[in-house]
Amino acid sequence: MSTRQGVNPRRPLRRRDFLKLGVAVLAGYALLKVGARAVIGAKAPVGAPLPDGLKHLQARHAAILSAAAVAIVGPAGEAAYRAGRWQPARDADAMIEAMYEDQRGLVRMALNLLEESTWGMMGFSGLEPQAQQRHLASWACSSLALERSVWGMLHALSCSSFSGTSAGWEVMGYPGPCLKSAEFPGRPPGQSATFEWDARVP
Amino acid sequence: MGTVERCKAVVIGSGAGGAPVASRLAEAWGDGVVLLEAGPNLQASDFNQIEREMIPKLYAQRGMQATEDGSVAVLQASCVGGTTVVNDALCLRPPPELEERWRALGAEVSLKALAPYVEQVEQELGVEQVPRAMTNRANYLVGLGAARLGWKGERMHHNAPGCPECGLRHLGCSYDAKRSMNVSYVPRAVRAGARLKSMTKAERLVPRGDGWRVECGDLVLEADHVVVAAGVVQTPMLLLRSGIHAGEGFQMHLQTLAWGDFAEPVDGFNGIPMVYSVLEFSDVYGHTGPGFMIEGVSTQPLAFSTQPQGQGEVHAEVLRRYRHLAGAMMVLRASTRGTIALGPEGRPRIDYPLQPHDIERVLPFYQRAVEMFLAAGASRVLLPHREANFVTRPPADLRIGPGWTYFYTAHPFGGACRGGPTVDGVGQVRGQRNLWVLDASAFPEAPGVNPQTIICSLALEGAERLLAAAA
Repeated sequence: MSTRQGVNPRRPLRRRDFLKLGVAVLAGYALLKVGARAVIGAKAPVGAPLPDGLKHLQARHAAILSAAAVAIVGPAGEAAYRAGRWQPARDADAMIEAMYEDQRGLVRMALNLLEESTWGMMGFSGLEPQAQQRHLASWACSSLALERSVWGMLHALSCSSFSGTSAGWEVMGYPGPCLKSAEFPGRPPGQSATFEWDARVP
Repeated sequence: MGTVERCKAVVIGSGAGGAPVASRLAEAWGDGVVLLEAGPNLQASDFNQIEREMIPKLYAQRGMQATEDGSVAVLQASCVGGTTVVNDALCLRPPPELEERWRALGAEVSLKALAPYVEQVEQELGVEQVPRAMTNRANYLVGLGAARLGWKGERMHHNAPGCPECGLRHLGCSYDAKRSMNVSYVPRAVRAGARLKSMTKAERLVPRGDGWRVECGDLVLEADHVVVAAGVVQTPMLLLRSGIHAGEGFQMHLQTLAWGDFAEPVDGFNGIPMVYSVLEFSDVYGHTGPGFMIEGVSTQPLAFSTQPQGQGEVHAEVLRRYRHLAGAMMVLRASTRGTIALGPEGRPRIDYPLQPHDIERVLPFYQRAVEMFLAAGASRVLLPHREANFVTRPPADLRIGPGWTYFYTAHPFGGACRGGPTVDGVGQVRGQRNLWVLDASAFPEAPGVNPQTIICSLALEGAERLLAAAA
């Protein structure tokens, strides 16, 4: 017999009680995880220290973004990151500078969402690199538009940042612009005229 | 109290619309004309060809301007010369179909009447067909694939005679070879007496008798006539900030890409970026296709890498094949109509809900691009799609839409369409005296071709109308 105030301990558990129990366990887990994450913090990939003086990304966000960027760009990015030749958090911070405040908030929210979206106690940034790749891949083709959107943003920030560096140019075989720069000697313009053309093309 | 300056006319924006207008008005009114530009006045020596440095300097919102849902990047420049400084210098004549289509929407346009202005523009900008010997390998391969399939196409016209073929038109021309507005109509306007004020943003227009007060922070300009030509996003924004109804009818040429992967290096970063255009599938210049052009396109490293092409090992493979990729771009005359509105903090809010009629025409582009590159000898084709990166046959089916495909536009239109609720058939703002809109925001519909020549010639025609009305 049940009362209005509570559950009769001798009554068999009903489906609704199981649901309540499940929600309580999940809520407890989430609280525990958030607490643990607050203690552990986000973990940047092994390599050069995170850049100082970021204006819009806190250390936590910089670590999450760096982890995602290295996972997205792949082996070449990891090598450049370890060597201190590529700082995705610094570049992203500069891009975020051009955003409006509500857009900056969305970037921070997206990074938080990614970090907290893993099942284990470790957040996304604490996963092994292979697990990070799998997690991001699931977001790239997710049925949820929000996850696909976050992946697209991270891809754009990561890859445009990497391909704008001399480390990225080396991997791609890009010889640098025609004008001389500090990093590359430059190349002569007018190289297209050296090709021979098929007469079938008007 | 800031400085107050009196003038005959203020032209707001120095791009393809504003610069020709300022030039023509200055021929009549000399230093009575003020040309305002919100961005910086950069010279050839400032264009250092480094993407990571120049894109933030030249592009609106450092190149990150996009629709509200982030599904379409909207690329525009913010500097003296406007987007003509960073475009690929293509100058295509107005297609004959434009007149009937635009007139049906309420725009008063006659291609016969426009023809003399088109000629003036082509002369001022040094327009010529890109010489055959200046076709780079990437564009050659696009033309070769199309020719082997029997598709119609041609080398396009550009406004860069004597181009040294550095391949970096999207970062501003370091050699002043490209006759963008900053080296053509803006200097011409200044020589005729116009006062150029860069880094000066028009915040608000306030009626003042038959004229206007143009509020630019500490500077206030009092003018008899105002021409708004601040670009497709900023023109409606200025009108909205001034309490004038605007922002409807935002449209674009929807763009996406595909890259053929060839055994030999293509080095698509070399040479003139865009030369060859496949017209077979367009619905202009007498063609009756589904409405997209396929244009050869360059592969500069940073711009190339913003297109999602997989992650981890897949992305590593993309980077390894970079020199072997030839690019092709879809220019789809999209029919979706969106809006531009004042968003939080006064930022532009661009809503653009892609409609099925446009989404349905993207897969055919991918299919035709794959066929074209395979016909030209590519072993496979790279697509900026979440579920298909390197493909060896035309995809039978792909999920197309926001978040699955990379979309962008360098050709936005509308927001203050001629014949619409904001502007009348010739470009005058409805219900206002001596206030004109003479840039691509007044286009009632996407023209279907790269729009530089059309914007410039319509602007010159509008300037003549303004002078006639003022007389």
